[in-house]
Amino acid sequence: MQTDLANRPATLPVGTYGYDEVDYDFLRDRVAQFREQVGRRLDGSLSEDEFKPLRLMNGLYLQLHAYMLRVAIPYGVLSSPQLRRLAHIARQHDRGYGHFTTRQNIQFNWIKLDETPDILAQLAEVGVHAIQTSGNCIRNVTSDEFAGAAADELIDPRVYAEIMRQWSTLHPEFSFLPRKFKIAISGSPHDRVAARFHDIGVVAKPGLATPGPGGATGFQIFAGGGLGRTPAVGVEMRPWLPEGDLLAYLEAILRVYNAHGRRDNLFKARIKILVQALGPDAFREQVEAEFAVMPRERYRLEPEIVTAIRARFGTPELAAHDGAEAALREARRRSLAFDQWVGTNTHPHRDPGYIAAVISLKSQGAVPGDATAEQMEVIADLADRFSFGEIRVSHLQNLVLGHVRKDELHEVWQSLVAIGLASPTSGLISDIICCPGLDYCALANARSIPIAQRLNERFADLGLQRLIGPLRINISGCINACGHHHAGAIGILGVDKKGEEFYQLTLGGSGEEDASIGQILGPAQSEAETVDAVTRMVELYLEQREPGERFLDTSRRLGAAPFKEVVYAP
Amino acid sequence: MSLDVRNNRRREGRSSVITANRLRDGLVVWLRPDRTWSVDIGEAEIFGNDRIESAIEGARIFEQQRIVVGLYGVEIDQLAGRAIPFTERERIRAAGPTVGTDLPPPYPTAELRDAHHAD
Amino acid sequence: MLLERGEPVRDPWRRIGDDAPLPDGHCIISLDRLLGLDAARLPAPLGVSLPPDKEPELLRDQLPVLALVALHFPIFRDGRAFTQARALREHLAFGGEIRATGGFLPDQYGFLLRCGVTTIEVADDADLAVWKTAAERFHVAYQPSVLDPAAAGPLRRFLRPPA
Repeated sequence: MQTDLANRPATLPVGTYGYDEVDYDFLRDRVAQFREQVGRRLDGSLSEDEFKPLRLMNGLYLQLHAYMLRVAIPYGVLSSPQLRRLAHIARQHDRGYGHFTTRQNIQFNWIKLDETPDILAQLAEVGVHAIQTSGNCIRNVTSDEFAGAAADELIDPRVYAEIMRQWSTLHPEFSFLPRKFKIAISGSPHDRVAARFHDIGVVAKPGLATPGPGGATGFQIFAGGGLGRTPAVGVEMRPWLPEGDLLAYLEAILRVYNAHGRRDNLFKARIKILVQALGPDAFREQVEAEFAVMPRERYRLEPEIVTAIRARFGTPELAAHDGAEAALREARRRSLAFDQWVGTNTHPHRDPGYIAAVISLKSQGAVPGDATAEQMEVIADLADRFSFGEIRVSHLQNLVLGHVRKDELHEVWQSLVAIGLASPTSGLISDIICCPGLDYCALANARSIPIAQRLNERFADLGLQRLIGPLRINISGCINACGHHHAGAIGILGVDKKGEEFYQLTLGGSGEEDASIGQILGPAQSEAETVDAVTRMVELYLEQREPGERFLDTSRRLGAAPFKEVVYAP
Repeated sequence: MSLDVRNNRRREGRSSVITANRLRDGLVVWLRPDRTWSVDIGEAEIFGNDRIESAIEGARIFEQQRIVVGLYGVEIDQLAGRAIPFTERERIRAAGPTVGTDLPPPYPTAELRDAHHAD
Repeated sequence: MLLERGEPVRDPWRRIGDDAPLPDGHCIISLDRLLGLDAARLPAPLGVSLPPDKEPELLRDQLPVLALVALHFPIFRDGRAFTQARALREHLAFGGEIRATGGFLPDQYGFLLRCGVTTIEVADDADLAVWKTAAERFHVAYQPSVLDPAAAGPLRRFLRPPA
């Protein structure tokens, strides 16, 4: 089919890889392939068992209510035309909204199989796809929502995320792995991507004093991390891997996994199980042995390749005028509400005239992580006007405008107020990370969204939220842990106890460089009891905290016992 | 198609309906007495659990004909002549999400719980 | 039916069970049988069937006298044969025929080819058009094929000249 050339951007999109003709050709072939596969399913030449992995590798699940389409947002960056196209899909082919996930993807819940090839074709026109967002293959490589903007960044991880995305797309050897495979990359030693909870985590590290053949950029590599039934922190495979060896080393890990991961038991098939079964040292030895015999010149990531990929990323032309900072200070002084929003919902930019803004998708009464088609379009317009047409999706289920001029921040905020997306709650207790749960997901044991909404009602008072300070609550509707509850300072896991919804609490988890798995506090309780228990835990924290301590810090200092006591207080 | 263990309920004296997803549009559908499929569980044919297994086998033809996918039986209670799925999961599946803009009518679960305890 | 590059080809090979006598050549035998044979008295040409859970490295000494290695998909989801094929080509420099057997789908044909598989065994009544289409579906790949000698790096190349 002809691609609508009018949709092609004239300039490179800022913050994400700009497709060229070759990339568009690839997507066209992929859409044609899926269209044909749907045809074979509908005419019976493919059974459902044969069709299922093929549709999963195009992100199409058969879910609780209908087909759910998970569209990839590579490393969490969208251009404004891409976001507008997602809004169009939501409106034309779904029920007017989409859900942003903890892996920086977007999900549509009411998709029709026979419309999916056309949907994918419309997405392909703007360089968007649903390739490998499900299935036993390498999934979306996730990254940092402040990439390319954050002051503490060593490298922009998105260039390497794009390299890994291309390397893993329809990889001939790794498309039928024992199980799904998730990679995350952080461009900063401060791990905002939960790298240590991924099958492979890549963390940028400062160069050695004498740079090696690959140049001064290097990566700390973790493998075998994950959440779910058996949460595990990844083991360090290499403290510093030169840039040039990145793809070769990933190949080596995947080769060992593909050959030796369990094929007999779905629940024991992730790489973390293999790492634990072999032992980290033995696993590392196998990977290093494979790495050693590879013809590395074929897999070397030459600096020219990195340069060529980086050249396809548009860069923001930062040009703040001298008065930007002062203008922001003045606007904060004039509006308490704006001031409070800036206090929570912004992040320092490497350029002193700019700032990153967090758009919370966690409004009171809303579904965490959801946005309507209208909201998406307003945000696309804001991105065009104020942030070089670039929108980021955080794995914390919020959106980010990465490069806002400080003197324009107030106008951005006003526009967000108008569409109800100006909650000044980023990082606070109401910024809950929540999977879709039993309301949407066939795998769930309990609903997750209602308890998130009950908690938001309980802690609705903004003053109270600010008093409590940073507190990450993660909610999962089942042990698959798509809400990453193990990584929450407070984690909530929905369980089915005799046909009723019960919730188990965990304490002290973190997905950052101090990665830890939350400790289970005790037996599951009802929704109402759990909301009360969380309240008492917060009260305990407020009573016991020392100056500067976040909830996570206090919980680590005190240990689980005092929290357990208040949770199960008679 | 392998069955979720949660869908194996076949308690004696109770009843079930047959459900699936429509292949083309994915919507949840329920088998009517006239062997057509409805999106409304209220129109589903109700089978005693002594008959449900053979009824499910008899309905497999609809999977072979590529009309539906993922066919299985759902145990129900009957209240005021209407089929109410026994499990919360199936109730949500029948009525839609309990959150968001299109909220379904609430199920009379309290009455059902009382009715169960009376057994 | 045996396919090579999407086209049916004659199959001179036969599978010989562990207890059956070995013919003069063109026989595919089990790995155990091969490893137990006297290296000086091997029929030729000889093929071996490598189960998915066995390392290709086990064949290192025999490969010089093997003309064919048959790999197996117990089910299409079990992708170990892709790694085995690639290892045979890349690490072991095997130049003979690599054959894929078992439950793989046409949609995996392109992957098989790029991992170095030469021939595939499909059902006698297979729809050839589907297999041929699958083999030629993509014009672009983002990784080198293991068979590509001129691989100039790890990313993106044309599988056929751009239109």
